[in-house]
Amino acid sequence: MLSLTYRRRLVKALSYLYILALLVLALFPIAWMVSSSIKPIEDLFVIPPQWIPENPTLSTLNSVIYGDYGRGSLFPRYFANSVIVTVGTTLFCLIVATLAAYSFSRYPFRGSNGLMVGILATQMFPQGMLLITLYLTFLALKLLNTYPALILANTTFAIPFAIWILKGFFDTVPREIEDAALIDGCGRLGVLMRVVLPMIAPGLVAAGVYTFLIAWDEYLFAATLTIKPEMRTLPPGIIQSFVGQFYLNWPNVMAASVLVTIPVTVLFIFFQKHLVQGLTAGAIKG
Amino acid sequence: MSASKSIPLERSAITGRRRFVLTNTQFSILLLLPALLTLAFTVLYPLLRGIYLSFHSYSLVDLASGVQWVGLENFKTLLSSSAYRSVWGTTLIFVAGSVGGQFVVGFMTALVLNQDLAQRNLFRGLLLMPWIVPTVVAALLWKWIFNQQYGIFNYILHSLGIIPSFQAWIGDPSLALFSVTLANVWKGFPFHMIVLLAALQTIPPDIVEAAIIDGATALQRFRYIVLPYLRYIIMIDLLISIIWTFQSFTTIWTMTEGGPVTATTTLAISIYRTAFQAFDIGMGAAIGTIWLVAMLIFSVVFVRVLGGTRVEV
Repeated sequence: MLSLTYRRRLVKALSYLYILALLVLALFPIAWMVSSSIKPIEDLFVIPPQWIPENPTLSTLNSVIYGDYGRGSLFPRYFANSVIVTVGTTLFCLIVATLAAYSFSRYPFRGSNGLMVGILATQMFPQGMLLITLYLTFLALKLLNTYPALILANTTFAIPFAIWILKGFFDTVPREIEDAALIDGCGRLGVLMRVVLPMIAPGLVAAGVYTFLIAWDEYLFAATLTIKPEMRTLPPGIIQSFVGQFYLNWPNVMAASVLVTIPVTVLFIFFQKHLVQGLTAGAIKG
Repeated sequence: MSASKSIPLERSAITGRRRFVLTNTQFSILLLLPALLTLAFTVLYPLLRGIYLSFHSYSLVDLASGVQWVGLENFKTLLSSSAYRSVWGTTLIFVAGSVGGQFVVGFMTALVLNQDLAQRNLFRGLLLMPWIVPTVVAALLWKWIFNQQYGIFNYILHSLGIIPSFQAWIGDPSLALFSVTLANVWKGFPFHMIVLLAALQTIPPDIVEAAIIDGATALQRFRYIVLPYLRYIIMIDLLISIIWTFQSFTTIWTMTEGGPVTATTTLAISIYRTAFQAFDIGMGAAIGTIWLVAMLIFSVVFVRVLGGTRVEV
């Protein structure tokens, strides 16, 4: 029988080995994307592959951003559209979801728990089915190819999850603090704005970052509710620009992919702690 | 809430003015109103209209005929169609493979990271990266990796002697579903890792230590402490990811558009093709309605079976 300390060391060594292997599997594809994006095209299509670019170049990134062969690029436009739609979705959902989550957490009434379950249950409604009516409605309202249409469509999945995250944070605030503020003559809305919101600032960041990530990611609604190329966001935009039926412009696809990933990566690096806390706050409360 | 109910009265006494004061329930509903109105417009109305349309024939190609009542015709057509049944088969394989793979990798990683390891937070952050990468990007990236001629998947497997020749991972109907599922496992495992790791950290360490002192093996500790402690979280985690994976559209659409032929056509792809490419709105809505009813039944049964008595939000 092995001694306990020896076995513990073995378990630890195996753990590090497992993590190392998984890190390679998780990160290698991303590294490959970056490597592919800075290669001249003739170095991209070679076997064996060049793991590290021998002739690194920024020319592909350049042509994605500024266009090539005298053709302009819509990429900056897609990028701007994505920023507008994503920030719009995030702000709108944060305001609406904060109020709703506070109601569920602090002023429950008969049926409010059922309502909360109902709001979360909307996540199982097929998006394609909702999209049918959203498309027909926005068509009738002449809202296709507009930012409000995309922002409203994004609320279908962003609001329920933001409410869930925020309610988890509201539930952690001790009720006595609010009661004291109420007695001090602060109105109920004032208590929320001036007392409770500052206390759950990390929750607002978590819900905001999460909403930003999924709105930045959204493809189906954006691809269907916008027809004009100049109104597309990044996900349908890069597909439309670089992915043809029979031909894929791989160098540009990889360069565009890197550019689309940078903003969310930066956001993640800054707010990792909040995001992790937010994802688990709703699920874990005893 | 009895204390806070009396507060509005006290306050009006302080200000010395009679004023209209909302009851707490009215205030609560007022707070909910913006969210409810938005979701009524973007979810509830589209849902009801979708169910309504599923009993109608409505084609955007033939706008002159408009919306016509056809009763259960759409559903009959679907249920008697072998193509439709195979869409369900594809969907179930895709969901089972994706969620199963993500959950196993995510749970194992969470268990490993739950130990006292150096640089644990750094590892956790780096392992989250696949989840951060936008879905379209992940799908394009894997399509490039799976590329038949120049993809590194073929190159690596072939160099290691695992495959005898380069395979068409995306183009071969018998491999495509595996390929999109693998890409989806890569993209989705970190979510399970994060949720389960956070749950593992709520297990009181003294229980585990007591079990070790009593001579419980790692397997016994897992079976009799970890699993019971995590049952509720595991249930929520699985339910959410099953629902999401049913919805999964972008990965498959970007990699294969549901092909080759129909090898990767899941329900989400099928609705899109039917409603937005064939413009058969009624039929698309019918696919959605059956899917919705199936998900509702599944969720209730799933929670009943796994949740035991603790069913709360």
